[in-house]
Parts: sequence; structure tokens; C-alpha cells
Amino acid sequence: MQHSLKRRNETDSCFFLSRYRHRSSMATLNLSSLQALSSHRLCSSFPQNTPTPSFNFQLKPSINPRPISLKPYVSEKPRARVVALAVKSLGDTEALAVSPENDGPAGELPSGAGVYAVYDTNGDVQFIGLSRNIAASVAAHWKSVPELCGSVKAGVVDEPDRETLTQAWKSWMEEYIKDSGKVPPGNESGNATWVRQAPKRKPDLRLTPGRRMQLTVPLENLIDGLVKENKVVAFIKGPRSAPLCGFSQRVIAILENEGVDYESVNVLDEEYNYELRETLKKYSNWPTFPQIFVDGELVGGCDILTSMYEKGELASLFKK
Amino acid sequence: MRSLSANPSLLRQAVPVLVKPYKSILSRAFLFSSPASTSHSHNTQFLRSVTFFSPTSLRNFNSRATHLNDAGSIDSPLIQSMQNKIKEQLNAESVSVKDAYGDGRHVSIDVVATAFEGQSAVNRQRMVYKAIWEELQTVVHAVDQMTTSTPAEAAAK
Repeated sequence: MQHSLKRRNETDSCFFLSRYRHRSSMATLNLSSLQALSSHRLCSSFPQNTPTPSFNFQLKPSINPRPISLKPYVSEKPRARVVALAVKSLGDTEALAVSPENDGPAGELPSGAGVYAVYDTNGDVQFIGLSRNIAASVAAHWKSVPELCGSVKAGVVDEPDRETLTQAWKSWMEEYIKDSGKVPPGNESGNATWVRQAPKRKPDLRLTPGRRMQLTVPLENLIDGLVKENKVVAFIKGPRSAPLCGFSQRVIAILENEGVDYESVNVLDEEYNYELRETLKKYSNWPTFPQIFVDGELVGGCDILTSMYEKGELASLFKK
Repeated sequence: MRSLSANPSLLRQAVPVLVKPYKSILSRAFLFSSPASTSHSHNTQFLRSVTFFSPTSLRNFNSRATHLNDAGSIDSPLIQSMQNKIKEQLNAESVSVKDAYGDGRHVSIDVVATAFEGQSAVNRQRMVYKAIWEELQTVVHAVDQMTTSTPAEAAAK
């Protein structure tokens, strides 16, 4: 335990100092000397007139070949740089309320990269995460577990490379663990509440088994059954994952953004949905695509859906 | 000393996870893009898709392009014809049919008619589509925008 703790400290020290020196090849030698020197300074009770042999041995080589290297030993600059890289401590950061009226976090949350902590309405930390876009991540959490999102503390990292982000996250985690003696519930291994799982895209529906098969019922009946058995059906140009037309793309974006459970049909699929375009036009008396059906009724195309989306009418439509 | 020694084991239990924002949230900007941007996006998407066509799809693409060329583009007489049809069949107060982007394939339609009273947005557009159904089957690639208002609604604007 002691050994691993010491090793971790050494690693952190090497990380910061090597960044300051632009990872020069001399870092190792200088770091070694610096550590020995620091160790000597910290042990104030150690008599100066009887230094350890190892200290003497390490100090000598650094003096002869690199006299200039003495400068960092008397300068506080490296430490200042190290401090500047870190985010403000968790305790010193102000909490921002996540307002339920806003259907998401208030505008004060930064959209930059950094570390953040989510508190519930009792003021307990639920999760400490790092993100490339703090505001978007908190909005995502709010959507999935609003009952656990009362307020948020955010610390922006100015140079958001992976290493720096992880360091900022570690410093907040260590501070919380030191204060509370435990890990935030959301960060415990096995807890997947706060981690967005890759969305499993539904496959596009196919109306027929294939072009070679003979239909036993008219295509109109297949369409009629499809739109009435499923709450939301979007007939689009191209597959759901890569629509081939701007209007279909916009419709898919709206449905995804609303979090709707919908089915999609690729009207350009000539193997499984052949003759669908002409038949659907007559069925719905609508000459263009995309076409969106809700509860068996045609709601409209891209412009009507966009209009309803902008007016906030879609939520009630999909709930009926 | 004891608290420090306890920290590493607790920290190891935690999971450092990079939380990526939802793609749908980032796409919000696209949802509110201007019509011009929509056209650009549409054309770009259409052109980009060519490279992914299979031989079969390529044949379909060629067939479609040929069809468009044979049918010709939207021109002034055709626009006038569509306007007249809508005006007569819906007994409309005013009708406007424009070549939206000058590319000869997209139209923008604005209609004011008493016949729209009590009709839903989708049914109003259906009434207009019915009047120009033949043109929509052949020449017009897309109706980029359509407004359907009653005289009272038009006056309110």
C-alpha cells in the first residue's frame, strides 16, 4: 500500500513536470535530482551536515554537464504552471440549479469540455463525470434521470486533452472521497444509469418478403395494416440511418430528438418495398415523401412536421 | 495517514467514463437551418449519395435522371398552368407558385382560399395537391414549402 501510494505520487509529479519541459530527454535526470532535493527539504529534522550518500551521488552529475539546470530549483514557476492546469476544487465551485421548468439545464452551464458533478435535490452527489460538452451531457442526464438532477457543479478545462480531463476528474473524485469516505453512487462499477448506451437503431420495415415472391394480398392492405398497427410510421427516402434526401433527414432528426418510438420504411428499397411509392401516393392522396403517419392517419410531410415541432405540438400528438 | 491510504482503493472502484453528448442534441442546430441551407444540405446529400450507389441503384439513378430530362423543367407556362388549376378548383382568392431555387425542380406554393375553413393542415395541402396531381407525378421533384390560409388568417398576418 505504501509503495503503490508513493509510486502514484511520483507518476503525477513526472506528468506535470514533463509537460512543463516539453517532454525533453533531460527530464528524467532533472526530475530525479529535483525529487532528491525536495525530499531533503521536506525532512527538516534531518541534519544538514550528514546528507545521505544517494543524495550526494545524484546531485553531482547534474551540476557538471548542465549548469543552467540549477535555475528551476530556485524558481517557483513550474509549480505555478501545475496549479494553473487544474480546475477549481469541487468545494470551491458554485452549484447551478437544474430547473425543471426549462426541461433541461439552465443556460448558465458551460458547453465547453471539463468535469462536472451532479447533485440530487437533497444536495447529495450522485455522479461525477467528464465530458467534451458539459451542458449537453447534463441535458442528457436530465432527460434520462430527472429525479436525480437537482443541481450541477461544472469545472471547465482549458486544454481538454484526454489526460487533462482525466486528471481533473480524478482531483474532484479524490476530494469527494476524502470528504465523504465513499464513491458517488453513479460512479460505482456496474452502475450504468449515467452512461449513455449506444442507441440500438431499429431496422427499416419491409412490406414484402422480396421481389421474387408473389403477393397474396394487395399492397394497399399491407400499407393499411402497417400504419394502423404501429403508432408512428415514417415513409422516407433511404434508410433510417442514412436518409438520401434532406427532407427525410430532417424528419428523422425531429423524431429522434423527440425520443419517439417509431417505425421507418425505405420507399427506395426496390427489393422489398417495390411499387410502394405509387401505391402509397394513392393510399394517402399525398404525392411527395417523406410521409408521417400517427395512429393510422397521415400527419403530413416534412414542412407540417417541422411546423408542429417548432410550435411544440408534437409531444401531445405522440402521447394521444 | 489512514484516510490517505484508504483513498486509492476507493478511487479504483470508481469508473472514469467520458460522457459523450447525445447526437440528437447537437443536431438541433440543423433543425432550424434556413431554407437556403436546407436546399444546400439537400443537394449535398443527394450528390454525396451517388458514390454509394450499387450498379442496380446506379441504373435507377440514370433512369430517373433521363426521365427528368425528358419531362423538362418547370417553366413559366407550367407555373401559370398550375396556378390556374389551383385557383379554379379551390375557388381560391390568391395563388402563388414559384420556382423556389431556380433549379427547375422545386416549387414553393402559397394559397389563400375560403375552402380551407375548418380543414386541418394536412387536408388543406391535400386539396392543393389534388389540383396539380398530374404535374407532381412528372415534373415537380419536391414542394419545398406550402402555405394554406383562409382569407381571415391571411389578413391576420
